[in-house]
Amino acid sequence: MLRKFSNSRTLDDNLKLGTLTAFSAGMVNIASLMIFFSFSSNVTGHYAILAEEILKGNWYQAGVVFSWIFLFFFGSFVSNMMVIYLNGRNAYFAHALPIILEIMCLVSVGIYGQFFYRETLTETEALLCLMLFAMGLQNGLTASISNFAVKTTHLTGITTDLGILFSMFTMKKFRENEMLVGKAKLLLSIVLAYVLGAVFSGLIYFEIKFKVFYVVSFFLVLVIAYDFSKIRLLRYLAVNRTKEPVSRDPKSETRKVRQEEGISVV
Amino acid sequence: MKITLVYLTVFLTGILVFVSLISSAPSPETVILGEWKEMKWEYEKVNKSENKDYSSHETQEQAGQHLIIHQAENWTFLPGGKLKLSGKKNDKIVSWRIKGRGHILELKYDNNSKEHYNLTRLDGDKMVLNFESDMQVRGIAKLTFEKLL
Repeated sequence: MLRKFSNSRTLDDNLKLGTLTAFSAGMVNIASLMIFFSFSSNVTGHYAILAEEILKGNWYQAGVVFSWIFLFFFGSFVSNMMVIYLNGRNAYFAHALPIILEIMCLVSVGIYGQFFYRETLTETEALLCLMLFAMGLQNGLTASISNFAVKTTHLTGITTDLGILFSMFTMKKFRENEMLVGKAKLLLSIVLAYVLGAVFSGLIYFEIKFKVFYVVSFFLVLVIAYDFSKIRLLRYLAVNRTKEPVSRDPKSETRKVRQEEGISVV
Repeated sequence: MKITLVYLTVFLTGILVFVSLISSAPSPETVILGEWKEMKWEYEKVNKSENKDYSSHETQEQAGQHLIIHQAENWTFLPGGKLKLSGKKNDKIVSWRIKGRGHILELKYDNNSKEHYNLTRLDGDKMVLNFESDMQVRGIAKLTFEKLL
């Protein structure tokens, strides 16, 4: 899910990554809407609100919305910096790091909300800042490692792409194009996962309140753990293979496993 | 080196814009403090073709009938999140919070029930609250206040 980069990714890799992260984003977005009365996973609306607040001369509110947009941007910036600068050393680590950072942000929101939140406006705005930064991290990572195929925190572009794809599918030659069909499957899965995550979050929020952020973090841990377990398995298999008395070149075996793990091989 | 400077400048500009905007106006939590007098209740219907128009009194009676605020005439927002609702017959103390980007007023009552109002306008002398309501037709009720103190 996380190990492979850009064009080496399969549809299956993108499907797993897309659905799990979209589910998390849907959860975060609806939780922030119910608790703080603002969206945190999409910024299109915030641009419109920023313009509205500027027009009304509400400079304080304009500043707040500007900071949210800026932090979403900064999250995406940081995420891609990690990917491009660390990818050469260990692709798995480079791709897992933004998710780890995102989990830290969301767990912080959960802990603060559960134990310290006094419902002041400053706290609300700061917690939203943290959530928008986390969503920027996630969206930046998924878009970056999937060559812009997977974007999971907002659905405007995806809905546009689906509209285009479904109009193309009115022609037989496009319906038979596996790549287009695969893309449609991916986009539909993301939409479905996002909505399911949002509904799930809305349902459990009434029971567990701020602990909903721990549940989101659990799903993100699954994303990291899935690849980690695969790497461990591949290493285990590689060690066992090298022990076999077959005339294989252990160096090439190790090299193969390292490539599968996404670690650069010189 | 040059590119690092460019990036630093962009990010510092972003931070500067944020700080300037935030410090150029007071927080809605500060602006709202003080005593406000209800001036009028209005009702904007979703379907404009409905031919009934509501007076301020009718709107208050119908749209506000399930709301605790509906018998209040003066609202005093106190520091510490307390709101004194003063009416002809009695006074009531509830809790208030501002949510979102400062655009939602949340009122919390003793039984833990909450009411949410859109803070459409809030400045030194005028406050406008909106909330969705089902009177005889669906629409949005609007409360206008003027500041006393």
